[in-house]
Amino acid sequence: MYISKKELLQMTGISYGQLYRWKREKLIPEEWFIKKPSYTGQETFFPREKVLERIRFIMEMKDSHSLEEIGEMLKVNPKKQELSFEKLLQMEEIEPKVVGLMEKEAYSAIEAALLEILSVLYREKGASGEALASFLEGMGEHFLKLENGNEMLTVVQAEGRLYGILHGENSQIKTDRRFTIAGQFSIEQLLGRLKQRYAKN
Amino acid sequence: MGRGFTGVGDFTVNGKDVAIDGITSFAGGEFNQITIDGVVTVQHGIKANRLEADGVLNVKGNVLANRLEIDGVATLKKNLRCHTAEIDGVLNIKSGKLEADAIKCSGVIHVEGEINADEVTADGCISAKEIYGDQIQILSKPNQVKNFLTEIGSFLKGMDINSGMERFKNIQASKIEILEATKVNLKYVYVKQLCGTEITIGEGCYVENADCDGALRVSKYAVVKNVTGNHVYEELD
Repeated sequence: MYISKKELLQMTGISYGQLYRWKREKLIPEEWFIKKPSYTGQETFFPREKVLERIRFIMEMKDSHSLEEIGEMLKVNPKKQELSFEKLLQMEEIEPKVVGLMEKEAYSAIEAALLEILSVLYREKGASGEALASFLEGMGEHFLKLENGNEMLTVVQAEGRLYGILHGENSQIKTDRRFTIAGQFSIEQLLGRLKQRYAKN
Repeated sequence: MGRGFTGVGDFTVNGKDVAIDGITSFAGGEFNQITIDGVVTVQHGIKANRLEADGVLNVKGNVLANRLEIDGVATLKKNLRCHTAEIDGVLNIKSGKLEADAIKCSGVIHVEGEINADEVTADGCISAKEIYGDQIQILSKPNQVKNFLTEIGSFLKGMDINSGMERFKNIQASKIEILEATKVNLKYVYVKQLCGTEITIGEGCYVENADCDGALRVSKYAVVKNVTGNHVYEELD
């Protein structure tokens, strides 16, 4: 779940200078630098998947864009309707059948993130159209009200039905044992990926 | 006087340039250039293209400047962010951090929090809780005992120097808890935890823990208590 700074530098080949320049330019959020005491004093850890994905994105973009431009690309306004229906259909992560559950002219990043979650549940968990529509009806309103991405959505399944639980990123949930966990999604990560996809297109 | 200034002094406000020579306080705000020769307290934050302080400057809010020059004494209560900072006087940041592309220091920098800079070039003194960056060069001078190291140089080599090391710990002019950078070059600096790729620990340094993946050069007149990492080691005369 976490990666140490030393391992991160070794894995990605970036230098201390690059890492801290990107922190200064807000390309890597300050809250991802998690300081923990160690026998030498202190060691810094990062949320593994998030930081690796972010560094991959920066490395891809840095030769063609300034750090300022990359920073702009990474700023997510989850409520802004900036994604057209056509563009959404072009995204391979989003299942066209699922888009039919929420047909609109333009989509916000948070709506696109919800459609991506529904697509994962459809493709990987074999959720039926009926189960997805019911999940969207029950959970959609809460999800679309999210102001920022610092939450997780855990989707549980029981008797063919899907239920959503929104909770803090670092909080663990325990569910009734009759539920199985169908998926856990970091909203921040989903929004970040969507933003990166816009940038690349 | 305009711009919310109160106090005694001569003011020149040219558009968004302001020059202050006297004792005053003002609210802060956005300027092209601020030149301070007197004793000035800024109640909130400042944003300036160029900020020069030859006198005494106290700022209660954040400071954002393209270019910062301190020849006097500046005390900031919050964060400082600038492209370049040239400190020939004293810069004291009480509870914030210092972020810059390049910092030059012939004077004294004291930051309670973090310094994050691409380049730090100092022949003055820096004390900070944490310094992170790309190229950090702090070549301080001994602040307590002249030629102390030369005198005890032979004593340090291969002997039980525990008592000497304790004395040694007190001669560093610059003190940093954590220093991490791609390239590091130090003299007369105490560092508790040092990490880097190309590290030179020069005379008069006392480093508790050095972790280096690359090249580590250590003066025979420096003390490094614990070394880790995959590096090529070289002892310097």
